[in-house]
Amino acid sequence: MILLINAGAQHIPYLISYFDGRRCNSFYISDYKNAEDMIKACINSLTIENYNKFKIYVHNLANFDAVFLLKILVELGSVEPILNKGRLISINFTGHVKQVDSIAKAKIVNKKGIIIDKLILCSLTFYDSYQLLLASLRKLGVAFNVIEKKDIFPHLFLNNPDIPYDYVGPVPSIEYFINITIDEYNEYCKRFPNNTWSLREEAISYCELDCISLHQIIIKFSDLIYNKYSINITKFPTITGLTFVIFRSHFLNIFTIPMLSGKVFKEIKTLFTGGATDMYLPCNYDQKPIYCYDVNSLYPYIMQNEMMPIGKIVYF
Amino acid sequence: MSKVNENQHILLQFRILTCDGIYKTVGKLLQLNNNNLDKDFLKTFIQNVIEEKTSGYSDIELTKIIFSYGIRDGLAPANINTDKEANTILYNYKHYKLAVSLDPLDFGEIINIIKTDNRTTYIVQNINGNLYTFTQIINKNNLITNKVTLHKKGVLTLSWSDVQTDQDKFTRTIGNNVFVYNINGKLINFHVIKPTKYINTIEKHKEHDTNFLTLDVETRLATSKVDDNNDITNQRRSSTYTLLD
Repeated sequence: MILLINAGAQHIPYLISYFDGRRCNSFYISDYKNAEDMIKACINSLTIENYNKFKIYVHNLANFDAVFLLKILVELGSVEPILNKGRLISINFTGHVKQVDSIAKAKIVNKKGIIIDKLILCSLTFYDSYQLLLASLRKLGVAFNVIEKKDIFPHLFLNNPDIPYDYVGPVPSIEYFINITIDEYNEYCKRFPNNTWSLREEAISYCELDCISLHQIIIKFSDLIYNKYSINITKFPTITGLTFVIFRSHFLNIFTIPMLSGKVFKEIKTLFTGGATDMYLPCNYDQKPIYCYDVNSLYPYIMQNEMMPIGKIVYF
Repeated sequence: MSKVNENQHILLQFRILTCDGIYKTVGKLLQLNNNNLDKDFLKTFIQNVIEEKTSGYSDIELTKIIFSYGIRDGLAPANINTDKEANTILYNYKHYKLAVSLDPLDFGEIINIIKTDNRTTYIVQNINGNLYTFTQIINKNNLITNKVTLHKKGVLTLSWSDVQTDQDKFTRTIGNNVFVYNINGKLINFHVIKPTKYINTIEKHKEHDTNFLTLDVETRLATSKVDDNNDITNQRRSSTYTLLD
């Protein structure tokens, strides 16, 4: 769920975290000169050989976080965003693996038998997990019954320009939280018996918990799909793509569904129209009986009772 | 023909000269006797050849039609031009006049018949010397299936299949074209089977891939004092949102 809280302003990233299944890594803005440096440090820490060809899931990447990531990614390597009808599906990123103050190189023997240095590359693909699991992280955590569920956080507290990033003080009041009950707030406050709340620690804890929760959700979903269909979800960025692949790998008979193109496609496409709406003048000049017919659920009826138009395309 | 006596025959070759100066031989070398039967045969032959070749040469301008002939002693074998051939319905397919028939005899003269257990193969030669090979199967309902090839000068130039679907009609499939005829040779339906690519099936994955990680970004409003120099969005103005969940 997305809430518009301030139209006309801009958002600045102040924290970025990731979780690889074993450990979390967080980058907080006060440790860097600015947000750009913070994100660069995060991307550089991901561009290592161990993460080569990894997929990186970001919930709601397409609508939100891609804005921040894309600008940095193009500075650090080659970027290939994949779009469908204007919507971002994934970002393929390839960058050089870095050592301290240099780019990592490997010794290889070329065709002439000469040993040369070759730059080591790391390829990462950013996916929007919201396009695979179309629900909020909170709802997904409940649905998949993961151990680490999404926490609450006073997002609105940071809208106050006077709050520094190293704020340590009383727990922000309930109005800085979004859509929580007083009971939930009181429970939250109990975590801080001395009423000493650190913005840095709590933000990192909240962000890392989000990453862990999303990771557990995707692991469960991945296990579910692989155990049932022997298909890796990491190959397919969207739920529609994944569904189609499951159909093709388990239920599609060979040489049944043709791929339409050219003139045949154009002609058949004209047959698919939206629901027609007729409007009649409420009059009956001839005073004869008028019959009006309507058909409901014609499409499912045809689907159930008629043969599917499959096989060779016959033009006549 | 008046120069040829009753014990002689004439060798006749029909040729054309195109505007490009190229001679083209049309049809086979004919052996004709000086009698009315072979005169009729010649008329029909010329008519058939012109019909058969018309579409093939329609885009060529002809300068001359040439009859090359020679007179030889002795009588030529009889030429056959049956009524059956004359009455056969033909249709044009890629410059070939094909008989609309399941009967090999409608395509020319049968020169060989080979019978096996369930099929009969007919070798048929038409008036131009082209060879048709009919592999014919007749099922228990007396419905005929022909698989036919046409060889021109020894080269396979055309093949098709005829399938009799009931006593009144048959379907001829040549390449992607499907013709449905009634038994009298009238075209009932014609359609084209379009070359079709199909959605492929996909192999299952052999190994479970869990090489992924998760990432999250937290943001705050740029109106905050400490963020004035931290604008990486590079946008003049944007709608701002925060995630509830």
